[in-house]
Amino acid sequence: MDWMNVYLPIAGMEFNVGLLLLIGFTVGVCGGFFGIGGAWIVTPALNIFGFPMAYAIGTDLAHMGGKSVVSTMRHGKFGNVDYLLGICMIVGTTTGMEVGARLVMHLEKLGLAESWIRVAYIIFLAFIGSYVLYDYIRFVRSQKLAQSGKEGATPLAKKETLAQRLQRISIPPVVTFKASGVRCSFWLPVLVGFATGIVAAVLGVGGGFIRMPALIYLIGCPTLVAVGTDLFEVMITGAYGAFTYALKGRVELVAAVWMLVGAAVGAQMGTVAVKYVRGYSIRLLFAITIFVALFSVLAKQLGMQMTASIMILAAGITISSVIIILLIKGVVRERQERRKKGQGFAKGDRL
Amino acid sequence: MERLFRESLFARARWLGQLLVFFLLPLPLFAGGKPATMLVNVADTRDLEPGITLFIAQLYNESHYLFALFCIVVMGSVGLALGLLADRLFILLGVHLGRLSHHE
Repeated sequence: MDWMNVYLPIAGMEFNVGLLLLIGFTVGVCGGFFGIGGAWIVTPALNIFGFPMAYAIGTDLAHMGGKSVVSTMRHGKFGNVDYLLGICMIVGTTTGMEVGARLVMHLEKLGLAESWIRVAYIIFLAFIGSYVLYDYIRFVRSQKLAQSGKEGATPLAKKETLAQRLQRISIPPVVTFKASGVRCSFWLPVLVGFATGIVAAVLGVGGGFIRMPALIYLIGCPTLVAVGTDLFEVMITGAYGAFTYALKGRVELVAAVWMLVGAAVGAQMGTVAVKYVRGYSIRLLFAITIFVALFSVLAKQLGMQMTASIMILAAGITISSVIIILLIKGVVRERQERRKKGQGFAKGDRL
Repeated sequence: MERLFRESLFARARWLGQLLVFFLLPLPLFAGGKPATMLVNVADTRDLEPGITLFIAQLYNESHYLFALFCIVVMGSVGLALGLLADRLFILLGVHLGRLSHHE
């Protein structure tokens, strides 16, 4: 497979283009679909194939910035990006990350950082995964009960959620976020961003997988808007991160461009796939992805570094395959609907 | 009249605020985790043929600042171009790419 090798001038080595395209494509599909950056897939995947680790994070951030441009553009056209909400979140996230970084430094001084953070990561992933899965099961059961027409069966939408309770706290200024259909205090997204920023900085991650559920459960965004708005934030953080890492000479640009080619195609496919999937199905797949991440962190904790990396890459490929299957099914169905109708598009038909 | 003036002033102030948020706030964004330290590395250009690879290596050796700017411009424009191309492909496939209604 030497013919597929490309010379990376900054790292001073040859690397297989097919692998870069595959990794980029996989993380692109997952990123466009879930609204995450996907560094937790890319870094271990590059690690498996011997990519120099000195450049892994910077290269990942560079491709993430470009990939998020594709996804944000597409989600924006779908009406899934709430720019004002995204900006409010960024205000909170940046401050939160600074506080989180100081907390980590304090833990390092006490010699507790490594062990505490790993344990906190595991607990946090378990909590998010379980809650999203519980919410999905609750939704499905309530739908079934409502369909069966049993007495006392209340559709889930009629019960007050945590987000609705938080929206009622009207500390001025109260802002209407049009795209997400949310009216709440300006301070709500800022505080939610602040909290997710602290958690992300303490765990040492970008935070896309924390913000997406936070946007849904704490602010009350529809799932698709949460995905799109989170990607908007990932785009800005990715671009800024790529810039700072490149300044320090830690971006392998040729590798990043090849990864971006794969990721741009994948991101577009992942983003268009949300059109054919219900919000709650996205939440279910998201919960499964979080559990895979949890098991990989557990494997790392047990000293099985390579097993953890392989597990993440395999899971990434499997999940993106599922998303592509959903996309193909959706496209085929939409074309059939169009043919039947003779004209126009079938709107709002989802799996 | 006064109300109109106040509204336009408020709109301008809001716009300025948004610009400030965009350009100033990302600065401490990557404070989380360990900061990247400067990597002292020189790309070997001796065996490279004239072309894009040689250009990238030379730019990297000459100035990390220009290299960082080049990275951002390249990644942004490649992302944009590929996004537009993929849009065209999906339209050719007959996929409707207009606004979606949000239902869970």
